[in-house]
Amino acid sequence: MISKLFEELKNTGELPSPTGVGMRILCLTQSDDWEIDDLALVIQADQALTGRLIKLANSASSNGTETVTSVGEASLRLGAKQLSNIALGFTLIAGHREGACKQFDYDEYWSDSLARGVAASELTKAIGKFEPAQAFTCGLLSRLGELALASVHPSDYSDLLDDLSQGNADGGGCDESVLETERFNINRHEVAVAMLEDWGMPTCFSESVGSYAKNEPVEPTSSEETKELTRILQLAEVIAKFCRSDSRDQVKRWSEMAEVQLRMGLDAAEFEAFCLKVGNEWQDWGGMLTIPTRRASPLNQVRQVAERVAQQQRKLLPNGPDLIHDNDENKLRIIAVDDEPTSLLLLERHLVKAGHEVITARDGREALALALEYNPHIVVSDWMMPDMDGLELCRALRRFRSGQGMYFLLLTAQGEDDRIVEGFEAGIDDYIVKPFKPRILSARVRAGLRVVKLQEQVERDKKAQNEQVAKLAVMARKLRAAALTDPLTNLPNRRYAMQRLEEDWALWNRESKPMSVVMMDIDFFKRVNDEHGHDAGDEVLRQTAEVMRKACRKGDICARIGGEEFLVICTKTPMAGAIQCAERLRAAVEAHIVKFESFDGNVTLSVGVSEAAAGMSSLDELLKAADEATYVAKQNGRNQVQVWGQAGDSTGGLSKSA
Amino acid sequence: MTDYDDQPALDPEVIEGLRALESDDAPGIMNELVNLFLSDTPPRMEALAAALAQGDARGIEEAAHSLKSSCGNLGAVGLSGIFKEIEALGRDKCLNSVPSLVERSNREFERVESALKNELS
Repeated sequence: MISKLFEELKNTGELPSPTGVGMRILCLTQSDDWEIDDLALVIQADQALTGRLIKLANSASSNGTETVTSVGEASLRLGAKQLSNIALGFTLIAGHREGACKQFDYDEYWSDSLARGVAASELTKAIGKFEPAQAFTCGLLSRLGELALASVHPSDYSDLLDDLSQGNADGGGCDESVLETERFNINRHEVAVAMLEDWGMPTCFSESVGSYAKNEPVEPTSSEETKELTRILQLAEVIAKFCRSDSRDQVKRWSEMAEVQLRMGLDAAEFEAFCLKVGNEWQDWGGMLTIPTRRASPLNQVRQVAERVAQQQRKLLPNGPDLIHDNDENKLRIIAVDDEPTSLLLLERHLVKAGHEVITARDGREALALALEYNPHIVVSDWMMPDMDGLELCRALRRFRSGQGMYFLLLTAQGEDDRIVEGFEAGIDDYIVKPFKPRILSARVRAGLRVVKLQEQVERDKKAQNEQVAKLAVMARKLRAAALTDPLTNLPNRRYAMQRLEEDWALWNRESKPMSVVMMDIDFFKRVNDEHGHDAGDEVLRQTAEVMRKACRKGDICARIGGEEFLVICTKTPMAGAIQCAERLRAAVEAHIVKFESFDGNVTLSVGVSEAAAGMSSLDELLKAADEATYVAKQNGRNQVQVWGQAGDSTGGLSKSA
Repeated sequence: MTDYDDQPALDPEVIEGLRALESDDAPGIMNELVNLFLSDTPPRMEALAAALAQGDARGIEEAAHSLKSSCGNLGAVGLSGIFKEIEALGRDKCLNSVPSLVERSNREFERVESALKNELS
């Protein structure tokens, strides 16, 4: 059914599609035999696109990798398939910055889509196992279906958007995709899924774009990628909405953001830094693509205001939506619904007399709006009412998260009670036959109270549990980081260095990517400890580590691997680069003066460099070579760099540099 | 068909229950209810008559349904019973005997009205 409808849409020739270069990429990648070089050639023809792809390849990479400067490198970094997906996304923006649908806000659409892309990419970097560049593309395209419907049916879709804004102003709050299906037999999510499939995007793209908007758990049968990406898209949606709101709306949206923070397992400061990063990236990209963005307001201010507002609301509503206080524990907030005025008046009086707070409604629609606004504990409703009857009201309430927890008591007339099964199927909790005896009403409401309280207890427990889980997640992450960090210098420790070495060694073995290491020893360090005390020794280590960290290139890893022993891993770097690095470090440390108590002077380094070379059978050999070179540096008078494997000196494998 | 004329227009037990609702916090509930009933019922009975004139069985059923409830609330057991019968006939789309029942409801309403006015303080 959907595929047939999609074919019809496609045949209109009005579906959004990548233009120019994008189209050529699409044609190229859908053929069977093509190579990365072909793709790079097509992309390089478009300078703006080339710039954007390189920026993405760099921003999507984790710290500690080299800067990408060409399409060729970008395709190596990202993989050809990913590169073409991203390129498609970008060319789509270029061709659809405006269009014929009057009510469709193209600026808003792209601004939001871009924010989702950026948020998705940063999310995967922070918590995900996904490729950031993939997540960026998927976020950017997650609302594709809306753009498609606006393009194919510009005037009809414009009318639909008009109706929607009208409906929302009336407080109706209807679901867009339901209206779309009514009018076009296909909704935004179905169109987006079909288009992504049509373009040959990865299955996890179309699956997660199809499922993120349903507020339901992901199909348990779907792949890990789909589940992960769906989660990412859901969080990215919240973050994008938050980024695009003014500060007043941000305060209102804070609770959603707090949930994102919880799900990411970050503490307040980390989350703040994360949001700042997303905001900055978004503005950066917006500037580049001339898409409007908004300056981020400081997150901690939003948090403070939101928490203050929440506190005030709790004060205003002593019986706040989620808590019944012990001092008037039997008082409930109840919505009473009946279209017949004497019944409604009686019902209200009985309930007020029993000590409850009662809000009355004369029909189902009014009751629904009031229930969603006041979040009552119990709804007592007549069954037969014109327009929206009691069962329809109950079904409607059960579709909302807040409505699921309300206790629903149905009033039935005599003779209706043999149809009561229908009522329970609609989701009611209990019923009373009219005309009721006040005692019976009270008893039934008390039974409801018990359920409501149990439910609240469960909610409270769940919340406490969530908080506990989040705290544990934060702690686990900190512990993991701590286990790999040297506490004195804050440099990565030996354990981390060994892990990275293994990875790079494997890369060298498999793909012949060069790798070098620089081993460093502080000269006469024992004297510092002996003559000036251990505190001075610690201070020398700390400051020397800091100097080294600053002197390293971005991609290098500098670790403390022993008492006064340090190691720099120069990834993907041949010997020449490593020697430069070694010399830079040696000179920087020599030039730095440490003043601490009685200590006032510099320390120097003996440095050994080695490169992974054919004939080395293990990582140990590489390290041993660097160690030997360091030994020679010490033997030759310290404060110098020695290189292993260069001919021309007495040890056979070593030569002095610098 | 039951003859209602030999029963009291209002069930004393219900009236007593309504009086019990009056309290310091909510005085005059009885007056409020009676006035609401007396102003609300005639237009509803007219709506019932109009539905009958048009042969609208569904309209008859709905009007009679809510009249049945409101009369029951005020203890007008007899009147409530008449509307209950009308509701059932409307549901079964069997309208032949409805006109005579409607006429009877008019007479019974007069009885209820005067009895309720006696309850007003």
